[in-house]
Order: sequence, then structure tokens, then C-alpha cells
Amino acid sequence: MAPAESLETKINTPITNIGIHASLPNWTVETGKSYIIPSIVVIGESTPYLSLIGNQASQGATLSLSSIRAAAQQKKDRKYVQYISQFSKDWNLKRPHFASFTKDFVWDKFKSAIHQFLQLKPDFVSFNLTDDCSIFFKGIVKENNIYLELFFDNETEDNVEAIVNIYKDGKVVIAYGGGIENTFEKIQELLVNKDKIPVSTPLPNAISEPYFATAEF
Amino acid sequence: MQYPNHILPQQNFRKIVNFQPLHNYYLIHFTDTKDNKDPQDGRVREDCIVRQTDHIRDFSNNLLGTFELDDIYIELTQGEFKNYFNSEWEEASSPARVPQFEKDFIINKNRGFFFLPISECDDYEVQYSDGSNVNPICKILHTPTNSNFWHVSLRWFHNGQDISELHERQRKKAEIKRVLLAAKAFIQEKGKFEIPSYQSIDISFYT
Repeated sequence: MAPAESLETKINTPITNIGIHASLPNWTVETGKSYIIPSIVVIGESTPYLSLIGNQASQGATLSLSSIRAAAQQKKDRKYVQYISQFSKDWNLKRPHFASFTKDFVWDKFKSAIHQFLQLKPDFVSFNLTDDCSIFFKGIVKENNIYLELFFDNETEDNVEAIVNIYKDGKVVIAYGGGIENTFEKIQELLVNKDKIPVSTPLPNAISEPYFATAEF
Repeated sequence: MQYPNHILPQQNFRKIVNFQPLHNYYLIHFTDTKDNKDPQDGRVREDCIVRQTDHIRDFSNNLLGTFELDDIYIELTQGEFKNYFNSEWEEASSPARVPQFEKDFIINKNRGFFFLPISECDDYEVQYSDGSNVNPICKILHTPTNSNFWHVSLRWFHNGQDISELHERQRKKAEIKRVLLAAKAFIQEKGKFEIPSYQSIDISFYT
């Protein structure tokens, strides 16, 4: 059994004396009986940071691996719906700026990029369709600020180019442009191989399948 | 209400060429809304920088110092002299006219703003490692107008050329896209919301 502190460091709770007992690796957390039923807030894509929030009226509860996974899945599903919804909304507004490209084509490239972005386990990712016939993404991956833009351009190979600038501690650590796959490979290379970021503890059996594999809108 | 005299150019003024001695100063950039901070990361909202990336190649700011915080709310109206007031000031000239309240300018308190530290902007270089040999460098240029001596521009140079001055046909798209993304990322990265302490620019820098 791992010491409770190793899990407590991942727990953000405004409530003191909560009486947490951690049991790794099966991720069971028990709260003291006289306290609360925790609700789970998963922050980040891989590390199960937990916020224990509740009320005094509730009885004690057990927080298990399955409930953590369920919360993570629920969060991803919500995000997935949000991305589709935002893309469609943006597309309706920005369609004139993408004159020579179909919605399907732009969606396809967007899907590929957002999927690869999510594979980086960002703290957050946001995007906007722009007046420049491009999609601008922004996200943070372990203290690296990622600014990436997909430029749709008939004169470019594959009709799209992905350009990225990544900042860490106020300095550019990589500036690169190329195809979507190629650019994300470079990002991975920076973030993983060069060990620019600390490795986080992944959620056991975290859901890692492509969220957009069958996406339609 | 009178137009503030301290932001008007004067005949004995000269443009600031070297910003090195002003590295403790900040540029201030106005946004159309006070809601200009992205709640997710605390940075400048992308749509508060520019609507079109292409506009970022000549990014307007003001040199905070003699130009004071409240001056950011001055907005030129669509009056008949707007073009004149926005035109580049010709060195050693006196302004032919002064903006009149309501006719030529209003006070727009709905504006927001953010700051860029000169020390972090001047000569900042971004090096692309994709074989494109694109290494844009950020420069601060003093570009006073007939209504605002403290107007400055952030410009990006590539191969010694100011990309804002390249004609459409001279621009290589692959290069320009890299420069423009570098500019957009740079401003989001360096933009600050905390009001810095500042003091008037010593007159010796511009006379």
C-alpha cells in the first residue's frame, strides 16, 4: 500500500481534516464517515487531480477507480460535444473566409489536429476559426504554451499547413511549420523526447482512443 | 474638454530611433472591450489582438510615459479630419489643427488595454527550425501621427525587410504565415494586464 501522502499531493481540497486514505495502485479513496460525498473534478487529460467538494449532510463514500474513469469519460464527452458545437458555430460565422474549402475538408483537418493536440494531454485547449482562412489553437501542456495555426491554402501541399510556436518561461522553445502530422511529431519530440516537461502519473487505463474517430456533426 | 497637449507632436520634437535607453518602459495597446483576458490562461484574448492575422504585421501601440493611462480612452471620431489626424507626423512640423472634442474625438471608457514591456519586444527573434530559414525579428518603430506623438508600431522584419512594407506579390506565403503566427503568439505571450509604474519620457530623448 502506498502512503496516503502520494495521493494527497494530487488532491485539491478546500476542506481540512477530511480523513483521506489512499490505496494505490487501485486508486481507492475513502473519506471519513462523518464528512462528505466527494464529487470529482478531473483537471487535465491524464492526471486525475481531484477536487473533493460536498456538504456536511452527506454520509461518507468510497471513491473508486471506476468513478474516476467515469468522471474522466464524462468530461471528455462534454468536451467532444463542445468542440463540435463550437466548430459548427464558428463555421457558420466564418464560412465566407474559407471560400474555396468545404466544411467537410476543414472539419477533417480540424479533427486531425485537435485529436493530436489532445494526445499531448493539455491542461486546456481552445480554438477559433479566423478571418484568415485558418484555425488558431492555443493550449498549455505542462507549462509549455502552445500556439498553433492551421492555414488553409490551395497553394500548399495537402492544402493545409500547420505552424506552431511553443513558449516556455517566456522564451520560444520551438517554432516550426509543416504538415499536420509532421508538426505534431516535432511537438511530441520536444515535449517528450527532450524531457521538457515532467512526466505526469497517467490515469490507470485512461481512455485514449481517438475521440473523433466517428465524429459527425 | 480639450485635447491633451502632451500627446500632440511639436515642431522641435524628433522621432525616437533607439529604444534601448527606454527598456524600462512599456507600450500600451487598447482593446475594444475591457473583457480582454482569456479566463483559461489569463492571457490576452486572441480576438482582442487583431481580427485578421495579417493586420498584426503593423501593430499599433502607444509609448506609456508622457502618454498617460487615461489617454488610451481618446478615440478619434469619423470626423472629416480623421485621415489627417491618423496620418504620419512629418518631422519638424507643427500640427495644422488640434482635435476638437466630440467633433474629432470622444472619450471611450469601454476600452480595455494591455501592456508590452519594451525590453522584451525590442529585437526579439523567433527562429524556425523547419528548413524555411524564417527568423523574424520584432522591432519597435516610433511612428508618431498628427494627433499622437507617442504612437509606436511593432513591426516584424524578415531578411532585413519590414514585412508590413512588402507588397502582396512580394510576399512568400509560407514565410509570411510563419512571421504572422510568431507575431500573434508573441503578443499573447508577452501581453500583461498589471498596470506598470511609469514616468514621463525625458525630453532629451525626443528633442
